[in-house]
Amino acid sequence: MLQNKPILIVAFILPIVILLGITLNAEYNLRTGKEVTFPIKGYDPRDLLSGHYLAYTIDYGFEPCKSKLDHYDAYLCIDSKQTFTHLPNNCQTIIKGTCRFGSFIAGVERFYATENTALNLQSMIRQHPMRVVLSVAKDGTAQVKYLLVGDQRLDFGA
Amino acid sequence: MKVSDTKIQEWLKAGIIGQEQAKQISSYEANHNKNWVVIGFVILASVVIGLGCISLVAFNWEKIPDLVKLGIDFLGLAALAIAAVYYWQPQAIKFDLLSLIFIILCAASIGLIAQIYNLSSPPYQPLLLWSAMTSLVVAYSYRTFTWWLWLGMFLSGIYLFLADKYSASADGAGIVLAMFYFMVALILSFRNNIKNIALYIATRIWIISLLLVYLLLIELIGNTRIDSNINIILLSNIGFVLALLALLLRSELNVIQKIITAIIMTLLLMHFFLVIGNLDFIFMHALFTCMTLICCAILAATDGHRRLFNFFIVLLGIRAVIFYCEALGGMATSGVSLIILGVLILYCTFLWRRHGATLLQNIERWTNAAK
Repeated sequence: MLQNKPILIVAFILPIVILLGITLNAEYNLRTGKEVTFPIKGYDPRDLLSGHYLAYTIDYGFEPCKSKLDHYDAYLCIDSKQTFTHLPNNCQTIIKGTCRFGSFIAGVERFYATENTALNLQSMIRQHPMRVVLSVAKDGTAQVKYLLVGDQRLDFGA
Repeated sequence: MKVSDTKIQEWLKAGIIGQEQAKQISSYEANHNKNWVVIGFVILASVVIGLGCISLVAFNWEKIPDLVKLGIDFLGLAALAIAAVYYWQPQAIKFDLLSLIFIILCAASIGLIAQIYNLSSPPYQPLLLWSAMTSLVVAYSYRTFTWWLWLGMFLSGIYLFLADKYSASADGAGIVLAMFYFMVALILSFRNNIKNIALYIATRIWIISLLLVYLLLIELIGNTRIDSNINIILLSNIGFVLALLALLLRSELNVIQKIITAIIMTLLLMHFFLVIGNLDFIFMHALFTCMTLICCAILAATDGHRRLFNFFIVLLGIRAVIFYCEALGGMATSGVSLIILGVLILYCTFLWRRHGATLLQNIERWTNAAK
């Protein structure tokens, strides 16, 4: 197969550079994105190979996906409470995602919690309303910053 | 095939080889034998280390700050990369072990970053990302396991991507069928270009696995009324045509092998169309599966792959037992039918023990005569 040492060095550097790029991109989005808060509903505490996490549905204040049959890319304009199939020009806060058979998925419907927090979450959810704070970039990429349980802030690692 | 000292002594006593030849064979075996026990444990160690890394991610390091976790992770990757490059030589076991741990740690790193930044995506995205990232590293490996792992993750990513885009109840089977055809087309077209035997073996393993997964999925659909996405039907047909073209144009297979391969591919497609067309008939699944397995066994025999031949015959036997139970329905669990079944299994096993090797040789002879 391949026998070239310079290419071998590139082969090992490439994954490290890609992972570094993903990390830096995520960190950048988190620090520079606009903070937007939404109430959440439909909790599903569970744990998985990648740790304990909470799955939920975000209440955007309107129904983002009209069709329950299709699967398409969608952009939510939070200001005008409208859904577009392309990046809208005159909207301050956009969230990019996919309408999947009636549900809008933006990759922010999951929050990783520590084992202790995950155990306490079930009782906390019943007593207090929950909200999610997102960091939203200009291109619509959203990331979870933290959860709010009542007035209590929950970061990853809490 | 490893030649033991006992075998060499037997041949010497029988006058098949001389003293000089016996010494040469012994010397050759001593220098060229792979120690499969060592290799097996090395692979086990790599997998255990890799799983340990993934477990650490899954455990959620509560007390360590995120920056430190990422730092340790990247340092680990860098250290493994440096060590692998340092120990690199073609087919060197140290290099293969280090590169295997490296690619597993890459998977763990994706999980760690997703966890720290609460990133989530459809499962196919991290699988395909990992496959793309590690493809060059894997290209330097001569271990079948590394290639098997990489191909498995890549094919899983492709499957999940297609399932995400086009989902309907029959399409799991349709997607696997399309992937099977494309893999067959690839291996037939590029067989002469694949210099790495580990890649070739891993690809063959996955082609057989895809075939078996497809048979299982299509049988599980049973008699349920289903719809299929037109894109999946199209993909399966395109895959079939490409595989057939590759088969016809590939000169290394003889006429008999080409015919049998074409029959297998046609049977799979016919089976799929009957299911999605809701045109099933009684014992259809048993008939198609058994015919496919028989053809696969014959194909394996034409190339002298005894173990593969036996494997397909065993699967055929299992399916035949299931067919027997399906045919008798509730009566299958009665005392008499169980006794008959047991006797049939014993008789077939006895026949196989007595005539299996001869059957294999006859198929090979018949194939060679047709060349």
